[in-house]
Amino acid sequence: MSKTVLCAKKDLREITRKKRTVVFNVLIFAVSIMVLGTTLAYPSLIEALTKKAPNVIEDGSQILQVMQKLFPQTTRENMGIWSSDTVIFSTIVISLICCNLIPAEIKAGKWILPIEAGYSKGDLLFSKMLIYGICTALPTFIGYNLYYALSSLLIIDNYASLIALGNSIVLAVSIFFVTTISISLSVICKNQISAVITVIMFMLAAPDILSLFSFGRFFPTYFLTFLYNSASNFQELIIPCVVLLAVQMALWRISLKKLKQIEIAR
Amino acid sequence: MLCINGIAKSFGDHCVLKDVSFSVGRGEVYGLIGKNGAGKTTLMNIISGLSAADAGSFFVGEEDHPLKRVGYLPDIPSFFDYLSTKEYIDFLLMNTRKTNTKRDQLLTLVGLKGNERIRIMSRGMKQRLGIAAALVTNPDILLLDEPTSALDPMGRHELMEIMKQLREDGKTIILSTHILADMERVCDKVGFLHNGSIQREVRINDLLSGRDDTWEITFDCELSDVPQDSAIIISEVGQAKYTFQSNDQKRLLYYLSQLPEAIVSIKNKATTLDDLFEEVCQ
Repeated sequence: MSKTVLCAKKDLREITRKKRTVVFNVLIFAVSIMVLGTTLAYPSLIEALTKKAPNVIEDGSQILQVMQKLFPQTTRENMGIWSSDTVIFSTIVISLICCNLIPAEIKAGKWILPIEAGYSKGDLLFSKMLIYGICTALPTFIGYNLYYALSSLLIIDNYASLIALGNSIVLAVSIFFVTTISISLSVICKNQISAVITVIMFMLAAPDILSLFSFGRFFPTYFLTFLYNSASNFQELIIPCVVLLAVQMALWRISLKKLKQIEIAR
Repeated sequence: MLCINGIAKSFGDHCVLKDVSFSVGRGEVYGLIGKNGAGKTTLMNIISGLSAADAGSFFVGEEDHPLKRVGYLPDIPSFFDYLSTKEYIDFLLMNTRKTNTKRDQLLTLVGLKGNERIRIMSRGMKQRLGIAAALVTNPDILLLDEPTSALDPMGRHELMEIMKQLREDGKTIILSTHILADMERVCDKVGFLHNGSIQREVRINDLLSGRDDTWEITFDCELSDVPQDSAIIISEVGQAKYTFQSNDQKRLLYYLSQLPEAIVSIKNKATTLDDLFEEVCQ
């Protein structure tokens, strides 16, 4: 236990001193500005344009409808868009940052002295997954709730705060597992680029495809569909959650097996 | 203390170590000399347990008292450079308390304060930290892979002093370096690793003891008469050049002063590790 605590302490120092927490926070802030800014600016902009240039935009009402779907004026739908955008951008940033963490440390020989001192490869991998997972999930959780608080003041509030809280936890859990799966895959895949592509493709394409099928709701990607709809029936998430945990456990075991095969000596 | 028998290791078709065997006693410093790619680092990786040998075995400790603790300092030690030296040693010591005598002792031994940021430390300071890191488990055997490479003379001198102190503390050290003068300063025994095995072993004391007794002297002309002396062995090299070997320097000086020919130059004709290295590698 103390080994895990010490490794976690070390990784917490890494993530804060290398300003990676700043990156994750800035990302959430940027997504919030983008979604809220466009939500507030676009409807009036389209209205103004249809009035000023009726020949250029012939049917302004249709565009307005599209824009309202993309940047809805109600908190529940707006939070769905915010969650979706956060997942897209976070997945890209997280996979790019995390897919080289462990391979780079091993390649540089940073694991030699800790292993000699008595740590196991599993200790070092577990703490990295745990701390990076928490440090990406926590800003997302806080960001979701802050965005909800702000948007409910500026646009029409049709979203119960308790459900918003529940969805913020679902989003944080999703981001946590995006991070841990990215780190696991970085150990399993021979090439880090293939790990990045796998994570990005899976997170960005699979939810849309799987939502077309009825069995799609049993896969972990249903988390994202659930978030996009700002749904409230949390019982629907039990099976995807079990599947997600099973996937993570399997990846953990494979990555441990793979790590054992890797010679950490240069 | 450390007994290595027939270690072999290949990487694909490339055989790095064929049959490496040697032994090192408790409190001894053993120097490993070899060209780049001779297999010194591979051998150290095997002894430290970071890499597995294809064949052979090694035994650490006495037969009735086996030891497992081996400390290893890689050639280019790599650290979690966002930590301070104190935080890093605490991490390796698995220390969760703020005060720790062992950590302070280790940092004092290598001359570090504890508040240095690893990221901005010089290569020499990192090597010192590497030694402290290798000592956290209180190992009986310390493997140092080129610890003095890329250090300035002052840094090398300081590191040698640390090694001498460790030897005095009873640590057995296996040292690899290309700086053979360093080997002569701290090693008790050296082994020449070439073509996958230890080709030759030399005790540094034997090497140094023969250093003052052989001289190559050039005269202004060939010696007309070479008087016999039982304590002096003389051999002719050619072109008025002779080697004189004697344990009694006073007697040798007196002998030379009696010769009518003038001395042009005197050179100590001792065998150095460089000579032996060249010899082994040829």
